[in-house]
Amino acid sequence: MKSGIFTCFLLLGFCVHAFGQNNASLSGFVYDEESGEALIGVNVYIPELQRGSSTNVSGYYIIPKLPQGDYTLVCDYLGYQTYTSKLSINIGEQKVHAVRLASGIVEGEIVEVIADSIRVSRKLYEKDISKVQLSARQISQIPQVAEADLLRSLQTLPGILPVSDYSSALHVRGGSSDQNLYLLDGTDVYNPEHAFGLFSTFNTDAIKHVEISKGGFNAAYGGRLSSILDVNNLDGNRERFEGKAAISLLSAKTTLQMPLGSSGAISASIRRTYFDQTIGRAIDDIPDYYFYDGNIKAFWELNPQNKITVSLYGGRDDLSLNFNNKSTDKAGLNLDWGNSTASIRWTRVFSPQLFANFWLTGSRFSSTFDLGDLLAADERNKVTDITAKGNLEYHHSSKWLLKFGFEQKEIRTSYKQNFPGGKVDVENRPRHSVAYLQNNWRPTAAWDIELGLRYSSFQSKKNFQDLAPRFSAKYRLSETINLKAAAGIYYQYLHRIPQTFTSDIWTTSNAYQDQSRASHLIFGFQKEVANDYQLEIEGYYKDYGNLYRFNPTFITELEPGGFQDNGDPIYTNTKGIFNQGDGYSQGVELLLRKDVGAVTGWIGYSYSDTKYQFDAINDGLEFAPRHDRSSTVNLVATIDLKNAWRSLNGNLMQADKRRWTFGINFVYGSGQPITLPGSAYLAGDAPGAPEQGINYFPSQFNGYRLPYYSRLDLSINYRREFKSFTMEPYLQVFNIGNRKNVWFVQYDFTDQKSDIDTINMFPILPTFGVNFTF
Amino acid sequence: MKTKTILPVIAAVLLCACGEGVVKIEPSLYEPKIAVEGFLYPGQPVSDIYITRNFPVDADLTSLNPLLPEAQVSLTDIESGNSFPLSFNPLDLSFHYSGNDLTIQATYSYRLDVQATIEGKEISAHATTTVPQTGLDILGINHEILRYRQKDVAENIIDFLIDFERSPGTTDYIAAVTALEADTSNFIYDNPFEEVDAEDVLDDLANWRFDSEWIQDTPATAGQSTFQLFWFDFWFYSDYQIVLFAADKNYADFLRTYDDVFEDDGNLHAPVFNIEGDGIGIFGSAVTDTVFVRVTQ
Repeated sequence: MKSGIFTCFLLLGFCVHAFGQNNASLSGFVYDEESGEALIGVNVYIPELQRGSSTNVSGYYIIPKLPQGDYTLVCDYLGYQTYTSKLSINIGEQKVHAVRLASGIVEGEIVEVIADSIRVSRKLYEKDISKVQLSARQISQIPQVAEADLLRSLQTLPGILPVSDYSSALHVRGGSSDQNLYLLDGTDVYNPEHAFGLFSTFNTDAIKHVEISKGGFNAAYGGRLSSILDVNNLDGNRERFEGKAAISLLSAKTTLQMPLGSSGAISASIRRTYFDQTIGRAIDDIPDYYFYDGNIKAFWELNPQNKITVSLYGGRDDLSLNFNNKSTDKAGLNLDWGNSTASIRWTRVFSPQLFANFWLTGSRFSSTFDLGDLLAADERNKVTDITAKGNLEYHHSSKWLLKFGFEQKEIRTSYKQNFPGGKVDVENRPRHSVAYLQNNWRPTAAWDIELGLRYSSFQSKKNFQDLAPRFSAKYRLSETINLKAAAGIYYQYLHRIPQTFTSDIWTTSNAYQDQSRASHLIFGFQKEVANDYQLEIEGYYKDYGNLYRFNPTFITELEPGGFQDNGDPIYTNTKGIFNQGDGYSQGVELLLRKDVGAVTGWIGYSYSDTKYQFDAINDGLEFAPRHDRSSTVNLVATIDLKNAWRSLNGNLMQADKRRWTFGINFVYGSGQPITLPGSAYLAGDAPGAPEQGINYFPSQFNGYRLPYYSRLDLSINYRREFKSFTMEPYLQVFNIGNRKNVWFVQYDFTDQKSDIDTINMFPILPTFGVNFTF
Repeated sequence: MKTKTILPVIAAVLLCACGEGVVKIEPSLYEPKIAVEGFLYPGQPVSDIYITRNFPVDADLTSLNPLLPEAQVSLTDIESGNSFPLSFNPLDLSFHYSGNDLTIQATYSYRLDVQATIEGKEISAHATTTVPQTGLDILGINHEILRYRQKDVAENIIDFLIDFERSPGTTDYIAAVTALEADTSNFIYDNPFEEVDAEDVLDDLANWRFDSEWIQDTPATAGQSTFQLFWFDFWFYSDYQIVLFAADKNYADFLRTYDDVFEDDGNLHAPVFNIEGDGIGIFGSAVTDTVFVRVTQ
């Protein structure tokens, strides 16, 4: 079945390839002029024909089926000067034209709509529905806890919520945090968190391009119900040696790039926290903790048609804790966890019309935990994923783009635990095969219709086969307004067991858990406002089936798969681990964004309504999940102070060698649901216990809403350019109002009464650091 | 105009981002429940059945008495259908059966029915337990006396290991560990688990004295198993009584879940009670055996 579908795709590809041989086209790669870095998502446009495109993940663009004539090629990308070039296309000519974009430190405040620039509304039109792109610069300028972080930056976008300050996990449009696919240079990353979720594994200095799709994603993507986060790291500077270094209260990091001969480049980053070497040495009662991570990426352009890219990532967190440092003997716990990924990508331009990327990727997450001398107990948790995949694009004509591909995954999830009185040994080795076909049709310059189909076969202890149709449409209503819609069905075969403080455990669909399903329906409205503002309004409805939520009383439903010689049980399956249910999310999001000028940033608002229904929870009645917030307001702004002053006085902006930048990040969220105790009662833990203890009994599940959440973060950066390097010290203050946002409440029964303690999220946290570029 | 718009926005942002979120435990969250704690043992009289009421989280127990001495409590032998009223014993503040015509038998099922009025509301609860089979028998223990955290030649800590004959049909066993002499003078202060001073010991002496461990999902067939007691179950240099319980399903489910109700995100869930109606707590049964050990300095 799989091979049949793949053969059909190939045949179809070669047929259309042959059919399209004699058409004139314009294609090529778009690079950063200074570094030679291929740029993703650059808008490419021919105003005379009102036809355009954008560069793909390899920085490649093509405008097919061009009639003979003289044209203007316009390329526009955030942070770069607009590129224009006059070109002549002859009959049947397949012109390859590489574009090198020059960096524009700042752009003019007044953005005039002229013939050789691309309108904001057209850039919005080229973007897929519900997709948001952020540059590394934008991410680094948002004030955060201690230092810039990708996942926390994404939490400032409408529709993407954290569950608390203590988590960088994303909850996208009502979905749970396991419903997001994290891709690093094309490789799946399973638990992308350091430091108990405080920081993500993505080093922002190494990032080239980030885009997140909040829903309605096309047939090229699948395996998760809610979102796709696609992160591409820097390929490397192929023109010269370049470096970055940063020191903050938390960590030191550096990123270096250099050419590899004349045909390639390499970039490498490394980061390590030194909390354990500073505060950890001064204070006895806190754990020894550090993490490090690093990545290397290199590419070789073998010839204009072939490029090989290799990407490696590795990171590890290490924690150890002694319970009582003053005792003669020591007892404590040791915990370490981390990700490793590797990918090889072959980029192949078969012809100007037929473009392909083939990947071989490997990803592994592992964690170990032991209680040292305390108890003969340990835990080993591992996920490995070996994937071969290919994405092909055939640009048949200006009206027809065909995308197709395949994916073959060998996944292994393994969880082993030894404890006195038993052990756990659960292993799944599923095979996941995917083929997809996507047909993009542009009948007129105003319409873009995409139909796709994704076939998945998931062979585990139970086999699943699913067809997931996808649809999207864009309509350019006027010069400044676009309308968009998307719908699709999505399947997920991986389920997650959250763990206290340690990293989550992944398991797969099997004899006890089916695949989860979601359908998305999204409508979007986009408007260019005052030339350089982007206004996006989207409404969505998501319907979930077969959601799996960790069952907190699973321990009463466990069934041993066998026994050890001494009679201790061995648990080998996931029966009873999850509660199964359904649900829906619906909402409206508004984003007003400005990417150019002295003041950049966005204002976002989202209204969301998410309800789950599980037979085993809340007496089978609907409930809102813990991460639900009805309303959220985000305000993110970066102000170039000198240029803002010039603008206020009616002067043009300038590229300064000394620059002060002020950052603002404000968030308001209505209260999250929580289950509070309805009452307390007396009970002992064994007959004969000397006294009965106080126990708490819940009120209605998630029936209470916590007070609203609000936070204002500020930062100030000073950037000074010297002859050979740039220095940028910064000061950030997280939660400058020191608002006590409630995380949860806890109870302590003393003196015949319960003391109710509010556990708050982060208080005011000032931090400072310095970045260097050389 | 711009200033007029922006200033109120800045003021609203600043006001919003200060202050404190306050959680109010509203009285409407409270629902009256009958809290049960009682166990049956084969061949033993029915006693120590504690029937109390639950109470609002912010209640002060110096002014609110949780006891329900007026409750209507009865025990029914499911086999015979005979019902036995239980009466309140003011000496031990629990319910018991005072007649001579009820003998708890292994493998029999018994239903407890409770009716009570709490804050003017009549509520009821019932639960059924099936008494485990007899057969639980402690066969021996590897050491009767151990030094605290005594180590073997390989520097591994030696634990007490209790070999026992299982009760057929029963999968969960609990060991209740009680220090027979417990005061501040023989408390183990030099322990690697927790820093404790004499005041802490006195404040919570009953809890320091008592600890429990359980093992679960042992084979339901007859045969031998081993129960391991750890060094952190012992907080005094003392003699200890170890009572081993072979637990019925109600007790096993309750013990596995009752004190692990707060989730990672602070949410709360209910334990597994196996009590129908407006009841919470545990009505279970067990078979027991006892052994004594000593921990020295």
